[in-house]
Amino acid sequence: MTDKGKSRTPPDLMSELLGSLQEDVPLPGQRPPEPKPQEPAEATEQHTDESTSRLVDLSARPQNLKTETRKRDGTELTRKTHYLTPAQVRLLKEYAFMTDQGESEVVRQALDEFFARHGQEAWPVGQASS
Amino acid sequence: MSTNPQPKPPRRIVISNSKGGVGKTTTAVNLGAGLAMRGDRVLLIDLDTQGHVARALGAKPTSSLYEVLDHNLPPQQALTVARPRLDLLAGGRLLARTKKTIASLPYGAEHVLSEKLAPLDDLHRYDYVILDTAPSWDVLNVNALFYAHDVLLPISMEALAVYGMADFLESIQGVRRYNPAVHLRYVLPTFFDQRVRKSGEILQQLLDHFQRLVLSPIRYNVALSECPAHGKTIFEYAPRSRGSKDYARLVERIAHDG
Repeated sequence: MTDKGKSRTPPDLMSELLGSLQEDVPLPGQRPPEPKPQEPAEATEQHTDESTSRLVDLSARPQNLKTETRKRDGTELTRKTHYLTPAQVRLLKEYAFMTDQGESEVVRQALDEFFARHGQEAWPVGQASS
Repeated sequence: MSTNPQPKPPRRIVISNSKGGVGKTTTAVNLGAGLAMRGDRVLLIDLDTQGHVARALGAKPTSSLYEVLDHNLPPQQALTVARPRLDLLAGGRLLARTKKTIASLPYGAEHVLSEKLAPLDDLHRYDYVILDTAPSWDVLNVNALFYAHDVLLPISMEALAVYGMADFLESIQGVRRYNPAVHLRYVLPTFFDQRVRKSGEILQQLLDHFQRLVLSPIRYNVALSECPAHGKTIFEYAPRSRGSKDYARLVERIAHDG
């Protein structure tokens, strides 16, 4: 039922009209400029997992793997930012595919292994928590 | 077996609003010129005693609508070629006499324009006939509404223009009782300024009432007010201006609906 018999504007009409003002229009009788031919995209290193059809670009920069950790060092709370090199990212993604795991899971396991092997000397396990 | 298609009758669009200063002549001139630039054949008829259409196009007509209506000059002899594919049937002060003549007719006063312009229909010379009317409600405007099919109503983004619009719509309803072919086809917001709140509010009101009849607004643009003084259309005077783009958009819409 309309409000007091008035028809209301569909919400998209206003934005449609105002949006049309932003569009470039050729002069009457002129053809709109031909769209530039699309340049071939640079080859990307993409791997597709055959079982899940998941596609991952292996050339992705590592910004999304920038991580922050918070650690209580004695009474101080320290925050550290870690980066992976592109080569490491690439290997990480490949390994995640091969083992059908998430990348974060691989990183977690790798860190566990690292600390299991070397942590005893650099940072004796059990000492920090005790 | 003859396969000649029947020539399409011209679209007759009257640009009308009894309020002055809403952009009727600017719209008539630039719409007509734009359609002609697209390749359509256009006749522009000025029904205003000010005769500003000829001035805006930089044309110097030797005959006008007055001779056609008052002295039975065949309309094809009163035409002025304003641009390629754009002919003009000029207005002017003498049309004031014509109004008196028409008003004094005992009957059929509303059909004078239709009868006098009928020879042009037989020639199939035009795709569009665009009529620019005076800012009033007089016998010539009524004649235009009996001659036309579509009404394009320009409305400036001012409260008074909206009030005037209501009166004008009532008048169109009155004419429709005798000429059902004419109908309000387009509402054209003019002098639209996105920075001013009232522009947005009035546009919203127009959309509430007219919905899809509302065309893309013509934004306020100083070039639009300058170009008539140079006898040029906006496409000639400032082709890169906002006014040019807005009228190009209008031309495309009208042509698309054709």
